[in-house]
Formats: sequence, C-alpha cells, structure tokens
Amino acid sequence: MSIINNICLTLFLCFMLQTLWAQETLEPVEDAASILSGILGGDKGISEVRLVTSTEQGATVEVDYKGFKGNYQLRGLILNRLKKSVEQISSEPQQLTKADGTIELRFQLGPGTENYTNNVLETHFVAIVFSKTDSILSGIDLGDQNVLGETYLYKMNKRWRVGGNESMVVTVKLTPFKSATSIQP
Amino acid sequence: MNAFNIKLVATCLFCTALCIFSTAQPGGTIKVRRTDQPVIIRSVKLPPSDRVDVRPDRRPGSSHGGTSPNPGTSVPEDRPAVEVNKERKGPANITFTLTNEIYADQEFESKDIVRVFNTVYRDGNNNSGYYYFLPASYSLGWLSSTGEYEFSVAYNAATEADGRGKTTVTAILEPGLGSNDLRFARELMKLNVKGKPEEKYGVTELISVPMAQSPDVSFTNLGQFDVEAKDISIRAPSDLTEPIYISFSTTRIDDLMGMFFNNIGLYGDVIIYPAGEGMPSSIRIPFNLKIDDRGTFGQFDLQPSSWRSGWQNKTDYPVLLSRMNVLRKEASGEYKIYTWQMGDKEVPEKATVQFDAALVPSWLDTHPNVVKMWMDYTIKACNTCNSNVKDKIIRGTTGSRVNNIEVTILSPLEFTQAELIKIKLRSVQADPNAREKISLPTLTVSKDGVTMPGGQIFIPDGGSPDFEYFIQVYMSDGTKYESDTWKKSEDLEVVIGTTQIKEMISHFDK
Repeated sequence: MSIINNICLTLFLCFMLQTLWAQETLEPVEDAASILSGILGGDKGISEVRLVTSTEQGATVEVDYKGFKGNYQLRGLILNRLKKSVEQISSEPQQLTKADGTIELRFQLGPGTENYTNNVLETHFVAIVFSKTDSILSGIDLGDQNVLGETYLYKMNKRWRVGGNESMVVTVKLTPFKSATSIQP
Repeated sequence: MNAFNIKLVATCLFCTALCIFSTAQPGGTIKVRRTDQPVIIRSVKLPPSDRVDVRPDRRPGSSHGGTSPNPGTSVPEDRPAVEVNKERKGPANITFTLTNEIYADQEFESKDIVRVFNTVYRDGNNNSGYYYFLPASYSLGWLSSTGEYEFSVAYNAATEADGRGKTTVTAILEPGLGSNDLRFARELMKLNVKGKPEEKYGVTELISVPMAQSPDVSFTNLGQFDVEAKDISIRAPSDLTEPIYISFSTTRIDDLMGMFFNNIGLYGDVIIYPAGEGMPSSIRIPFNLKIDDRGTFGQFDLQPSSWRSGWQNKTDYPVLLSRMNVLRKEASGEYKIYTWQMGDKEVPEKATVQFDAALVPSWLDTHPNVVKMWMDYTIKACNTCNSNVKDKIIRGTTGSRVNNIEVTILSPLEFTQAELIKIKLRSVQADPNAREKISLPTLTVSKDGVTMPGGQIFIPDGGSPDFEYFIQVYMSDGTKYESDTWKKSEDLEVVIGTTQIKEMISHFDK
C-alpha cells in the first residue's frame, strides 16, 4: 500500500512541477521603445512577464508591474519576426486598478485567416503597452505599438494554429512500398 | 514476417476464434473480433470470371424462395437424377475467416479491407451454398456530403430541483456496410472454400445473420453520467445492415460531451442473438461513439478514374495521411494489396490534397482488376476543432451557442474583512430553450485572487450574453450583507473587486 502511496505522491509532485514549469518566464528584449520606456518611466516598470497558458489559438500572459499610479490601461500586442503587430491576434485592454500588481492579458487568434494557405502562423514577440487613460492623447494610436504609451517588448515564440480552409492545398508525394515498386499490369 | 509465420499466426487466431465462438460466452467473442488478424499470404487459384451480383436476403430466417440459383442441379439426361437437397437451414457454427486469402506487404486490420466481421458462418446445409455475415463494428454516422453528424442533443425544460433540465442525446450507429463490401466479401468466400468440401456447392449468397430476437445495446462507460436504464431507448432493425438508433437522457451533458471528444469515446457492444443450429447464444459487435474517430469518418476511398485530380479533407479535423492502398485481383486469382507511403503528411480540415503520383503507374487508374483504392490516416488531436464541432452539434439543435461565464475575484474578502462571499447568477439564457429565468449554481468565494467558472449559458445566434448576478457577504460572526439589487451583465467575464462591492452593497460604500 505504501508503494502505491509513494507512486501517487511522486506522480502528484511531477504534475505540480510540470504545472510550475508550464508558466514560462518571458525574456525581455532591449529594443529602442523598451529602453525609452525605461528611461522615461522612472520607477515604473515590469518586473516579470509569464506565459501562463498556450493553446492552439490562444495564449494567456501574466504581467507583474509596479509604480503605475493613476489611471492606466494595459494593452498587449503579438508581433511577428519583423516586430509588426499581427492583426488577427487580439486581446482586450485591461484597466489597472492599483499601482502595483499582476494583470492577465488573454490573446486569441480571431477571424481574418480564412484565406491563409498555411495552417500555422508563427509569432515571435509580445509587446506590453501601458497608456494613461486620462491623457488627452491617450486615444490616439499611431501604429503597431502605441508611441504615446510605455512599451515593453518580450520574446514569445509561438505557433498559432490557423483553421483549415478550402484555399489550402497540400502536396502529398506517394512513394511505393515493397512490391508496389515493381507492380506490373 | 515470412509467409510461413503469418500462416501460423493466422491458424492460431482462427483456432482461437473457433474455440471462443463455440463456448458461446458473450464476452469471449470480443477478443476474436478485436484481434488484428494479419493478412495471410496463400496461393489460391480463382476462376477468371466469377463476378456475381450480390443481393442479400434481408428477411431473417426467410427461405430463398424461387429466385435462388441452383448450381449443380442439372444432371445428364442419360443418368438417373440425384436429388441434392439445397434447402437453406439457417446458420450453423461452422466458421470461415474472410481475409485469409489476401496478400499484402504489411499488416492490415481486416475491417480496413472489408467492413464485414472477419468470421463468416456457413449454412447448416452444406449443399445450400449460403453463408452468413455480421457487421465488423458500428460507428457514429457522419455524412461527408453535408459534414453533419448523425448525433443530436435536445435540451429539455429545466426542473425546479436543480435549475437544469435533462438533455436527450440521440445517435445513429452505422454498420458502414456497402454493396461493394458484400460483393467483395462474397468473392473472398469463394476463395475461402477452395479445396474444401463446400467448394462444389459454390457460394450462392452471403446474407446477414438472422436474429432470434432484437439486438441489445450494452454501454460500457455510460453509467458514470447518471444515465439510468429507463432513460435509454434503442431502435434496432431486424436487418444487421441497417443502422441502430439509440437515445438516452442525462443531466450531465457537459461531461458527456467531453466524452465524445476524448481519447476513448463512449463505447460498448451491440449484442446480437443469432438464430441457427449450434450458434453462440449471443455475439457482441463493438460500437464507439466518438466524434474525432476513424470509425466516424470511415475509410477515405479513392476512385481509380479520378483520384489524380485531388482529394479534399471534408472532415472537421486535420488528418495525417499515412499510405495509399490498392487492392487488386491478380492474374493468378489471388488478391493483393499494393501500398504507397504518404509520409504522414498533415492535411488541415477542408484543405485539398494534390497528389505527386509520378511513382504510381497510370495504367492502374483503368485496370479492370482494381477492386478498391483507399488511404489510411489518423486524426490529429485538435481542441479548436472539437469546440467548432460542439458548436455545430448544439447550434444544430437549439440555434444557440454555449458559452461559459467566468468570474474573477480580485480582493473583496480583504476589503470587506468577510469570511466568505456567495455570488448568485441567473439568466433566461441558462435555459437552453430560453423559456424562463433560471439560477446557475451559486459560487462560494473563500479566498481572493481566483478565477471561477460561473456556469454555462446559451446565447442565441447574433445575440450577446445577458445575465444577472447578486453578491452576499458573510462576516465571521454570521452577519450577512447583500446586494441592493441584481446587477445585469452583458460580458461573460465578471470581475468582483472593491468597486463592485461598493457599488452593489451600500453597507460598504462608506
């Protein structure tokens, strides 16, 4: 009986460890926008970003932030290799309710992929953008990353599953096996 | 594996089959059915032209009437006529293994080649030339032309007791037998009786096993969903080539739906009670109700004349194509399967395949001895596809989408200093038929910083979420503070934080 208990305990611990490891900490990218945000942001900033869940068409990211006093909104953008925002993947902006804390951003691959000819969409980065909601200019979005907000960039390689469609054509090569190589009429 | 080994294995399996069938133990037959019998390499000669139209007798126990051919009854006029009794007696427990007579370069499951149960029974009268078959298995029906599943979910009115009504699931189990299968099975039987006493009487007809009584359906894993025997109904035909309709009611449709998409499905046996001399008292034929299963989508047949122009994956799932097979009757009379590998290439749902078939001789497309062409495949697990199919099945029934409410708890316990908080939710959309406002299960919050499932609502197509929630705060001394009124929400995600507590409970808005 004790052996069974030990096995159960081991399996439970493995499961717990796996759960912990599933929360992948994302590595920050020191690009110009991040450096600028670091300089202008003062004490404000992000202490850690974790990829909490990753599914075929979704991802959840947890952001530990600090020093954002006042009315701030948080947005997340998924970027391709060229650091361009991928429009088909969206997340709802979140309102910060306190200066320091943890907030969750959920990304979902949405409509707009109906004409894709590849069933996998690869992305490489996530941008976390803080913007003041009570600023006059806060509503203006001048591009992929809100230039009026504070932007932090993290590496996040992910393959999103694009649903199949009738536009997709797959070439399959047929290779003869054993006696099929010498089949005769 | 060389020919001798394969033959030895097959002989053992055949003997095992005979032993198990002769014991007439209902459970024993499963072992035989589920054994993947290797294809046997055996040299057999077959007359070059013996194509016969197969017309199964669909009346169990009926005699063959005046239409039965009587090969061998004509006798020379100068000799006294010897009366040969060719009258059908019904099946006897004398068995033949169908796929013993097919050559192949690798192992196949018999049901991949012919969708007839691999064991065929001979008539009690050896002279009659009648043989009896069973379907190899039953699977959930799916129509490739429309992409619809023969599976429906009907939501009944909610009950007072638990706020949720029972749900009735109806499914059609198909044996998947076509006339081509029966025609080919008959050809195989002709090869099977070669060199045996039965040979001189030929194979007059292959017909479905007549039944002594209606079949039963036994579910192996339905009990765990609170389905009682009285809630299961079955409409089984008298002919085994026809589908079986089953329906049952459950209060746990969410769990049950999960079962249709997991790795084992909802399975069991169709129990056949065969009529006939010395036949087993019952024979179990497996069925599996699983959406993302090969049994549901069936074999991917290709038409020899048109396959080079492409093939479309009409299923709702990506598939991995492993090999293309061609079954051909050789000049020697034997059957052989030739295989071309496809490299487990992934084909997304609805996508089209273009074949690079330079290494498949073009003469095969018009060769008269090609019996069938098909592709082997596996279905790739796909959660998004499962969600889409669930939506398709449920929307087909109710015209609604099923959505989950999610409640995120920030720090109301810390703010109120309460022991626990209860959150009640109610909505007309909690009733699948949208007839009355019913309550969803009450949530009990005992710690901050958690996200809880708030229940399921049925949102009409083109509509938006519409429900209400109510907060009750319980202090450690038992004092209760509650919302001044129910708060309406049109968002599936509800957040309960300090602001909501202050807004909804005036006691805390100080």
